[in-house]
Amino acid sequence: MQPTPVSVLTGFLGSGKTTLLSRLLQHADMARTAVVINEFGEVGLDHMLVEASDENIVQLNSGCLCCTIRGDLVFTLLDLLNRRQRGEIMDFERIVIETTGLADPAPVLQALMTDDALASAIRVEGVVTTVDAVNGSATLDRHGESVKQAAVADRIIITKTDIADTAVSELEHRLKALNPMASLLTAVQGDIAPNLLFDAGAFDPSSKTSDVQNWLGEAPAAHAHAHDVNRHSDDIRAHTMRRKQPIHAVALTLFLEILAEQCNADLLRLKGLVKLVESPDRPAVIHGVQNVFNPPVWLDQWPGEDRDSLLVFITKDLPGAWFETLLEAVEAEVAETYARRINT
Amino acid sequence: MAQDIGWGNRADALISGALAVWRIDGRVIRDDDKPCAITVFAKGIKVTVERITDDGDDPYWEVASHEPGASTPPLPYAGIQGMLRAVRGFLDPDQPAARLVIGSGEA
Repeated sequence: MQPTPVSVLTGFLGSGKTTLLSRLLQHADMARTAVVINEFGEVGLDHMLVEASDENIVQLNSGCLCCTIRGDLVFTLLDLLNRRQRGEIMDFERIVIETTGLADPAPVLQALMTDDALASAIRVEGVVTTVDAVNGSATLDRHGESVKQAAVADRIIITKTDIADTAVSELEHRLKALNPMASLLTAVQGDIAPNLLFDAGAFDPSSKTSDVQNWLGEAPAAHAHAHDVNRHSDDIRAHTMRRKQPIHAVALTLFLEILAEQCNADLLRLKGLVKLVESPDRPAVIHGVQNVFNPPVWLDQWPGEDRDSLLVFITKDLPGAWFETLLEAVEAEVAETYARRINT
Repeated sequence: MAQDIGWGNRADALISGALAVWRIDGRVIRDDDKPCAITVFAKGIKVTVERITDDGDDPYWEVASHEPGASTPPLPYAGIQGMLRAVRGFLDPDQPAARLVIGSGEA
């Protein structure tokens, strides 16, 4: 059986997650969707606002996925999958997890990426984040959680554009600076085609090429270009590293090990398309959340004419230039070692 | 020699950047006598870092702490990864260890 795609739907309080989800579930394409809703408090409300078959909606209350009930999430997903296998519930073809408005999606992704029991049963499709056009900018100013939700997203949906007093271009600019990898979309009253959000295959090897093209298209073309977010800073930075020379596989491994060890939680996400010395015609797609990385996915060919390695870092206030220094130094060390072995 | 100066520059940039990554206020000073040696001053601790290239073996890093009353002799590290770990261990010993985890999920 093919792994079931799992998407994380997040966004700050009142940003329109539930409206979006409710509307999405009315689409015929989303009929076979299981939904896990995480709410604070003993009595959940969101699940009552989402119109879908009750049997395929699971509430996770009394805690937040990112803090206290990650184990519950894994258990819930396994339970859904088992019940589907036993024919007790509808044969769903995807799972959407709606987080609380205060959730940090990174630990949720980590839980999904690292659990052995889930490994063969699911694949993480990506993070969809809602940002409210009316209050989104102020929310980004005041609440670090909302900044992180946007920073780790694969798709950012700007909601409530119909009632915003001001143009959303400033908000769009800010979000683009915060996360150049993410696609920016808009939805009024949750009206958006599901395939823009859930069939994009952000982590799916079969559609990896198109996904890579998507986020490469969002990345700046300039060499080693760093984005600084606007005046409010937010402490979140995006940094794009471009490298023409191929990288030794062992150097890439060491580089990622050092990043994971030294940056840890401050490395919110890293996506990369890498030209390796050992496989220059088949680029490797790498993807990490904090210190957890998926195994690399090998593309059959480069997605376009550009054959430079490209790595996009979303970090919590880490100096982008250090990534360049580190990779150059590790690569130099590895190249020296190879040269010495050849000469002896 | 030119190669050593290159590694001196790299060590300087690596540690200077790492201090920012670690959120540690400090400074890095190049050693006038040794092209591939630097000294880090932070939190009242002095740490010396040198890349040894001339003892006939593969190049390696030496890291030593010169904390008042608790100096350690230079210890060897084969690569940048170990060197950075050692420097941080002296400057920020309570930092919880993090390691690369390869996700088990299908990528």
